[in-house]
Amino acid sequence: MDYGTLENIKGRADPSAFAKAMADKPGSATQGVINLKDYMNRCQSISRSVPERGRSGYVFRRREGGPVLRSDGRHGVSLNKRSPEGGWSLVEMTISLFLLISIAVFGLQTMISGWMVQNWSIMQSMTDARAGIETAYAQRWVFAALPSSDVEASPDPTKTNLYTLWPVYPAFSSTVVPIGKTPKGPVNATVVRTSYQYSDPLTGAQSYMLESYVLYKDHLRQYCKLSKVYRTE
Amino acid sequence: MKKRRQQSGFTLIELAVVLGVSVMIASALAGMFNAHLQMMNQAAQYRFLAKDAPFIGLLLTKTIGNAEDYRIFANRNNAASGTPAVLTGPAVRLWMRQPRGPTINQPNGAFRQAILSFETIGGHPGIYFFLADDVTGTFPTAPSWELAGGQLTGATFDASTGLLLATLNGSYGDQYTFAAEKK
Repeated sequence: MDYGTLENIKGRADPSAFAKAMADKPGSATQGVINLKDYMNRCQSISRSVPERGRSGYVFRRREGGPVLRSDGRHGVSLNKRSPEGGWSLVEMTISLFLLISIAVFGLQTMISGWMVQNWSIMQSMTDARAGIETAYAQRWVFAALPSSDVEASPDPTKTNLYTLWPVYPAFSSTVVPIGKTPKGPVNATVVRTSYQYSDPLTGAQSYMLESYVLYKDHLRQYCKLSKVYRTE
Repeated sequence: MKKRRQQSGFTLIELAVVLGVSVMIASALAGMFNAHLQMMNQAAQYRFLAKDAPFIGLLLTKTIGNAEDYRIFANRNNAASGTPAVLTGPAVRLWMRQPRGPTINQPNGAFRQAILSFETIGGHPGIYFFLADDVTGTFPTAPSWELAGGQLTGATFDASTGLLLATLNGSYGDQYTFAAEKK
């Protein structure tokens, strides 16, 4: 029996006859359903002429999702009455939300990256400024005070005697200094100072290499900037 | 036997799943949107430190670095009159050595003077530069140009430690301190 034409399907009034038609073809009834489904898909352009409900319980509703045929076991093969949009809507909504959240996550990651770069840039500016201050102090410090045994952690305008900020290595001084303020609060860095003393063997002239290490750390790593100034008689 | 009528639409489980997923994703999106807003706000607050302050620092260091000498004053009028100098203040008077040239009516070795002053002019706070007249040496009442503005809300010069330190203040309590001398 030929079941491959739409007219044949439309003309079937008896579900059992249709099932018989399924059995006439090689393969199972499921195979026949698949063939019919494929045929319906091929004939979608002309299936608008198919009535909404078949005369004997076959449902030929054509929706955008395409008809779905199912075998209910009792009435042979039938087209599913259930709206195909139900499942597709869920899938579409899930995909849409997934795409939306993906875009939002991407945007957030981009913003976090920009934020971290900005923070890194601010820390660089502040520590550069602090290293510049250390360099300026080292260039201007009274030379005669450099070998002083009186070591201070920071310049003290009230002191009247000679003192130094850079003890001779292996001695060193370490102090926490404010290097700026952010809207969240003050930013501190640790300054470690030391110096190396040289004596010219010929003239006996003294010279010093003044070193100031500016140590700071962000959330992950610790960094160090070095200011070196050479002072000589 | 009464045949149950098949209905199109969603089942309760489908609706529950969709609603649950929607609520979770909506919560996540709301959280991310909130984080976006907070980050944008913080980025705006940190803009002065990230962009303006280093640039102003460079500009001030170059300007003051060209001076042979400086004095700090409590305001521009004191700086113009020359008294009294202080160790900390918002105005700096600069002495800059000028070479004699065809357009500069000053003898060799003479100093040209200028005042750098943080003040509010026309409702706009900023660091203004007042260049003294070549001949008379008087300072103009209107600034020669504006060195810095934007989100700058304050600037203080400090020489109490023997070094000219400049501190710039932003709109959100942020501060940036640097050595404003020639290095």
